[in-house]
Amino acid sequence: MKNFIWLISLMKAAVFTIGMGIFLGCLSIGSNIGLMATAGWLITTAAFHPPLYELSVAIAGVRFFGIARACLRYGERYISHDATFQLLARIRTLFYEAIEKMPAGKLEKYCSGALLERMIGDIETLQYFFLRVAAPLVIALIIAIFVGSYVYTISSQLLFCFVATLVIGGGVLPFIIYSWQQRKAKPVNTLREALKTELTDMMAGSEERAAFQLGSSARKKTNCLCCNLGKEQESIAAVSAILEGLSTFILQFASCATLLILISLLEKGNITGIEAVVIFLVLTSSLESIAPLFMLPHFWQGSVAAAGRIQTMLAQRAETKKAGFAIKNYDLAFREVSVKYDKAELAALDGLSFNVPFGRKVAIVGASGAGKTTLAKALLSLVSYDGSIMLGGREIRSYSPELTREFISVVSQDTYLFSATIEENIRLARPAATKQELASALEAAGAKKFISHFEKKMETCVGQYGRSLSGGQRQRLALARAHLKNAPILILDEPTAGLDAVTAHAVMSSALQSTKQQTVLLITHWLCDLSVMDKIIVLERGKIVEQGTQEELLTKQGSFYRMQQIQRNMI
Amino acid sequence: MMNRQLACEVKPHIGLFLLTVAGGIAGGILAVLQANEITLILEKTIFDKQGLTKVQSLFLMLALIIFCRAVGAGLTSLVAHKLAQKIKLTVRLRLIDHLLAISPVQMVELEAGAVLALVTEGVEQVEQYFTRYLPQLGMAVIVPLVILCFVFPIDLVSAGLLLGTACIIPFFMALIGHAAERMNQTQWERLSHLSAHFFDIVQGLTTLKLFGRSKEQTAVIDRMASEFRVLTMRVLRVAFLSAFVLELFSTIGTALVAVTIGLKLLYGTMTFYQAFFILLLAPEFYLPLRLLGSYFHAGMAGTAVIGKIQQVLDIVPPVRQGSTGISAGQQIGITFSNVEFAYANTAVKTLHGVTFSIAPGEKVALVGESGSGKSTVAKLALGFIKASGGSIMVNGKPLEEINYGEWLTRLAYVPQQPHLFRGTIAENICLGQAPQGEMVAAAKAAGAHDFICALPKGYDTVVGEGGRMLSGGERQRLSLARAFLRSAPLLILDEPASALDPASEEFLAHTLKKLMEGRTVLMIAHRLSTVAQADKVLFFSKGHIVESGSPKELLQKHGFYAKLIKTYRGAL
Repeated sequence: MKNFIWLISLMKAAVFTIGMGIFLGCLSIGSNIGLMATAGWLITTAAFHPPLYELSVAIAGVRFFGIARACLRYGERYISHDATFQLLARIRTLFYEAIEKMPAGKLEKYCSGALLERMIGDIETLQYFFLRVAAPLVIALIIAIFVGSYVYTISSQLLFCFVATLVIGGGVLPFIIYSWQQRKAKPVNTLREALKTELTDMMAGSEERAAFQLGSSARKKTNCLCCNLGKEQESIAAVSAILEGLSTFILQFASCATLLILISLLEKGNITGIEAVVIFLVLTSSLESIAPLFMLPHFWQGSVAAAGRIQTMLAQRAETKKAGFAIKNYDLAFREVSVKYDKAELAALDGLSFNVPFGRKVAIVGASGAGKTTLAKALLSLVSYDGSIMLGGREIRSYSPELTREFISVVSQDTYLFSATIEENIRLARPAATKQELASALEAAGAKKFISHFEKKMETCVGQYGRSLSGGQRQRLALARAHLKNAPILILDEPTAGLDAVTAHAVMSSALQSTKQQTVLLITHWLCDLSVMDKIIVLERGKIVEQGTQEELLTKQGSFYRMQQIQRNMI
Repeated sequence: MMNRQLACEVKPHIGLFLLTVAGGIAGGILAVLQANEITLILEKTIFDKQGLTKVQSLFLMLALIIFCRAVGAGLTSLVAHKLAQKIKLTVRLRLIDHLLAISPVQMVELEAGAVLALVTEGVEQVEQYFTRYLPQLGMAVIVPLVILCFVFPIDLVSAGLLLGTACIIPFFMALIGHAAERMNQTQWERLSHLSAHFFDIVQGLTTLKLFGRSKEQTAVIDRMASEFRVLTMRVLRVAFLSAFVLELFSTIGTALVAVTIGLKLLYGTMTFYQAFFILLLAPEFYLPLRLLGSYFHAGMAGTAVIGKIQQVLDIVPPVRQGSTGISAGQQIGITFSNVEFAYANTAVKTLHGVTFSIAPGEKVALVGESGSGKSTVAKLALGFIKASGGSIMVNGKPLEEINYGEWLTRLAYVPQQPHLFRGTIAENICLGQAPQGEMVAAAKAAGAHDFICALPKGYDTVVGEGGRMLSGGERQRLSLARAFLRSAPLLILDEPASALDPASEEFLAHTLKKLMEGRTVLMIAHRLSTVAQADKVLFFSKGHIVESGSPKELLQKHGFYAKLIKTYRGAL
């Protein structure tokens, strides 16, 4: 109900256009009624051979309604779609505003591909609420009231017959169909999901399936699922068929009953023959308005559910605003920092304490899952943590997240490049940068050379997700962004993951060589030469197991040494 | 308009299809009869001044017709659905069979998500095509003709008007459709561009936030949202035209007929019965056409899906005609002579005339940068792809002459990134083939037994999609256990390229040594410790073997291999 009210309240924004669409919709059905009624009047009257002039208005009327009907219908469709898309545009903006305000840590959850696609799909689904639920319902009600009040002046029996048809044909029957389909939808969806899982497995494991000859068992499983799915759907189809027959029966039977009532009224002399024909045609052609109601429960359910999902999204707590402070210095201090993810058994970070004075270069190493990336996320306020992280002697929680992010640059393993030119992608870091600054940032990131090979140089489009660039090139652009931003703290979060050893080495050296007077936090599992780092912190299961310079750690022959040995074995 | 491949699917069920169309036609005829009864009732009561009791029999007849119409509509719908289910099942099974027949390499080229959607939701779209669009297509031709047969003897002019407008409708719709399509193409492109842009901004929101640029995008989004609307409306303005034409001609047709028969009635050249009958038939005449218009979308969607299905079915699975057997106990030797290979859609060959041989029991390591052709060699030996030139001989016989199924039973394959099927660990090790008793021994040999036993449900732990997550090293050990259980004379191993967790790394060298014992081995090596166990190393570069020899020889040679190792060490 809350969702329904929300949808209705949205419609206020385009109330005039929506009203216009509904008005035209009523007129369009009205002109169809008019066409049939006038034609019926014309023919019945003509049968009594009156003079031609008595028919001239009706003849003009028939022609008018014939043309008006099509034009009005076109107008109705056009205007109601326009209204709907006005509303969708409004919702899209609302949606962006809401996620823009969301704490950055939650963004990852909502803006991953699949979920985002669903959200955008949900917004699209809402158009059905306006087009297929709200408008047809209002139009059907208005037509029912007009025709009903006309019929009431003639006979209450007739009104009863008319209302009963509307209620059963336009309300009860669609509802029964819908609720029955809903009940049956569950097993169908379960089977379809099972089929999906089985197929995913089949495709992802295609090598093993081929090499271990698992084809026939996969076939058996999927075929069985397909057959069961077919059976379930068949039972839905059987009921749909019964209901389709029933709806045909109700509508046609209503016309039969109307005729019966009209004939008895005619016999009693309450109405004339001409009136009987006109009323009969008015009533049968007005039933057109209930046709869209058949799918109404279906669209209702779909759009209200979508509205619910969008609303939970819009209702997410916004990132809290805090006053800005002047930052005294950029020393970092971690005190007993712990992070535990929602469903995890173990803490991702378990009471970490260390200092990073401004200008120091610190490497944080460890196997995957040791908690390295969580550490960077905590610093960027992308996850909530216990303990404290101090920047310039003040807890970073007390700064506004925007402010902290102003002082920190990040180069992560999954660099997001927008589908735009190289220049636009880098300028993001500082839109006001001069050409020279841009060039020196690219130079420092080692990106100058490959860009000069492109025909359009900086104007080259990188394609969706920067797909037209290689992994190494993408990382160099990320480095260039960081250089351009020139923040006092630089976090390099696995900047070389997914690159081959030679490229990784090259990217890493550009990253480490060109760092100026800034703090560097290097997070990596790739144990290259870390002799330039002032300190190496080795994490294992969220705890610090070793720390010191590379030299110290190698002489110690502990965890770091063993990890580097494994790395040395790789080619 | 009708898709030929789709029509082929109907062929085995042509009876049901005809029944659906027949049901629709019967419905049309019943509608005519119903109009006839109604007209008769009105004529008798209004003009002949007969009472309700006199027309009782007519009312009974009317009720009977309505009953038949309802039953007919229900039955037609039932038959149509039955037909759709049969076709859906046929299409699904055919698709799945085809997916099983094509090689893993061809599978990789398919976009998994799209294929998945095709088999599940896509095939459902076909239902609308068969239960609504296609029968309606038949009815749109036949029902109006049937009605014309009734109108024609009564009044030539009305019949002509109906026929004329009905012929004009498809003509104009095609004309508008054609023009609209051309106009819309550019609009659709801009629309999809716009939605991609929206998607891009939202997905990159974290990046925008990190650079403090997210707020200013609100204006961009706002502008885009309105532009989206304007563009969509521009598309719809044209798209609605075809519905407009349909509506216009059918109502004008009805209006013209009404006026014509009204005037004829006035001048006494027609009776009320004839006139009213035609008036009631006019909307029924256009109804099938209008319904076809509303199902047009379903028809288009179905056609699009079938096109996509056809694309999948057009992939030609590799032909396997070999019949020569390999006896079970026999050791295996492989010889590649001058083997060439190029992947589809690429101009550059992946392998340029590669020649080498692996003697029975020999262990050969393939080394080289990624993309140098190592895994292509493994895939050729596995029969996933076929050489485009040269020959591959197994124990002196060409590989393609060997029975493929039998060949596969003679080899054990350890892929680089092992896939775990949804099921228990036990099922995943045995893969439905070996007796369970040997499983534990295999798991122990692969160093997997200990971590499996540490799991709460041990070998019955469900893994794979939706099951327990295992680390890369653990998956690797399960894959090795599969190979141990296989006890095949040939081992094809694609070693993981990135370092596993320390515990798994320790196991790996030790386990591999055991696994290779007494087998012919073709391995793609990424670890010095693995290479050290090889009798021979083949160094690949850009599809050529540029260096070969024992690991020690190659190190001393200061050639490609030595240089590669140096580069990697330098990177450390």
